[in-house]
Amino acid sequence: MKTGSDAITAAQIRGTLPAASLDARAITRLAKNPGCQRLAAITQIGSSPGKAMQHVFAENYREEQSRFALAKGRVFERVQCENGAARLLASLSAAGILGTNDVSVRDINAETEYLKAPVAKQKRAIALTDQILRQKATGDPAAPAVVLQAALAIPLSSGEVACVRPDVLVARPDEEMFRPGELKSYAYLHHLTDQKDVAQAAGQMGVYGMALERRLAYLDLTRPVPHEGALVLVKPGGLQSVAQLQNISRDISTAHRIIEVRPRTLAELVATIGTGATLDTKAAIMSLSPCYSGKCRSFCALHDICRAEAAQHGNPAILGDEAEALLAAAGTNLMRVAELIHGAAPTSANEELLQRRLQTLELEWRQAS
Amino acid sequence: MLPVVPVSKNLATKIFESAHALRRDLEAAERAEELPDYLDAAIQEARAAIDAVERRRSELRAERVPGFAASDSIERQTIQKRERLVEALALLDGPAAPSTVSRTVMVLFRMEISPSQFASMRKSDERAYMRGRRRRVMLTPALSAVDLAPRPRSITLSDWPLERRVIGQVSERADGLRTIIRIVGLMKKEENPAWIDVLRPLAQDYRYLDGTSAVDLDCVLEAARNDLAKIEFQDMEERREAAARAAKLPESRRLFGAMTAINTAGEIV
Repeated sequence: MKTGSDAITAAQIRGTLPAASLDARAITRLAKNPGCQRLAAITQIGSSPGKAMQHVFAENYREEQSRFALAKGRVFERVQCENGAARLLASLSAAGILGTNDVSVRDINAETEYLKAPVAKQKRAIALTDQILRQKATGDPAAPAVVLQAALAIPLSSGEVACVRPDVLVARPDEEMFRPGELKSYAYLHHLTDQKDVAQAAGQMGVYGMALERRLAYLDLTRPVPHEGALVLVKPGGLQSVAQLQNISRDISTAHRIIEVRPRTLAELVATIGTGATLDTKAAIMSLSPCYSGKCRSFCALHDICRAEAAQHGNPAILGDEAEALLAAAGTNLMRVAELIHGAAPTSANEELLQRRLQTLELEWRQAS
Repeated sequence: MLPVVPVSKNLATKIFESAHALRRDLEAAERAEELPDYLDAAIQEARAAIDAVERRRSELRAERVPGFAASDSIERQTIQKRERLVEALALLDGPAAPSTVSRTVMVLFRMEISPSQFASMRKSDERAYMRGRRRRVMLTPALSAVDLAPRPRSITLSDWPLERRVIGQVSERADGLRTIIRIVGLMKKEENPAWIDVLRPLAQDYRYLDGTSAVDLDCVLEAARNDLAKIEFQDMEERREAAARAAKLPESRRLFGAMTAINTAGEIV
């Protein structure tokens, strides 16, 4: 969905790179490595690392999640939403997030699915969501307790509109506004629940919270969005769910920051690749500065490209976080580290400290072996 | 030797002539009295005759063309599935989740109809209706109470009252509870243990049962009735209001959902 002349600028920078929506996953991905200009640029111009990988670097590359994971997630969500979201309501009610009588549900996806054109479908979903937000903000008792697959349009300063689709928005009748929620087919294991999974879900809920706040501001509805998201996970051993509140204040702030720096990112991007240049070539993408770390593998399709580049430049990050912390502090690359280990004269105080530390480590290693 | 009359040509001429005459008369008709109610019987007769022609043609083609019988049997199987689906829905007597309908067909007829097949059967009925071949009972979508548009993955019967075919904010929950009450009633009456395959997943959705516990029908029934009592009034109010709006639509839209156009703001125009 593009409007305004600035939107053409983003599209022009994209060139022939295939478009991808600036959705919750994309914004959460940015939050995982905010220092990476390459990731930021590709995402902010409305494409994705996966599309760039396929279009520019490796035609045969396919960005896809595990089919098993996808199927598991789809089945879990479908089962939660069947029969008026009976299972979801039961878990939200058990967690005290909703009352036992708060059972009204609107499913925006179901209400717009009859429209065949994707643009019309999205516009209708946004309009229906706005109606519900107005209902809630004015304290209308007919406002639903649960909204499935709402469509929150975030107007961007460049004139574009990003559309974020939270799995669920939840509010008791006595609450002023909905809280965002996320359905994840991760196992709920009390305090042993995987913290990475929880952080990932919280990141996405943060984006939903940011989108909700921005949409409300756009609609001139001044209602505070609760900063505790409703995280719905799988109860092990079946398809029942468990809901819990998760603080997402930090994630909402991060998401706001990412959206706020977007115009600057685009301006920096134009300055880096040159006015009129497009980001659909290998040279243009490689001219952007990456911020490679071992973690990139888990979320960025370009990690192989950046890793090869890091290896070529002797970037300590390819040896892992601990090595990077030790070596990068001295501002060295791996080639210089090798020289220092072999007795080269240090050129700075930092290098001298590093050389001493490396020699101590080598001695410890020799004694241990 | 008698001259061979090309029957197909003869039939085709008659059909074309009848269609032409009908269209001519229809163009001339300006008042409601010119299309009286007793035309229904004649229209039904004409449809039956057309169906008979198609059936006979299929039979003759099956004798003549090898392999045709196989595709014909697939068609018959599809027709049978559709009829079974209609019967199952009639028994449930209200909209239900696709998986519940599918399980009901399995219990009643030992026949597997995947929920993904519902849409094609429903579309087939809609196409037949639009072509003028109206079945007594058609598979139709439920209508959204918001804008009376068809709800995806929903399936209802055309002879149900509009109130029952409309889906509001609590309707799916209420319909699920009504289905539980209906199935418990059937289980008590028929003592068919296979009904548990339909009841258990449904009751699990409402946490009346867990995956392993023994089924206490009275407990499930009471819990479902209590939960339904909490939302029944709201549900009926919402459905009545939406049904009153739907009643103003032309018959085709009442059956298959309102056609909506969206403006640039996503509003219905």
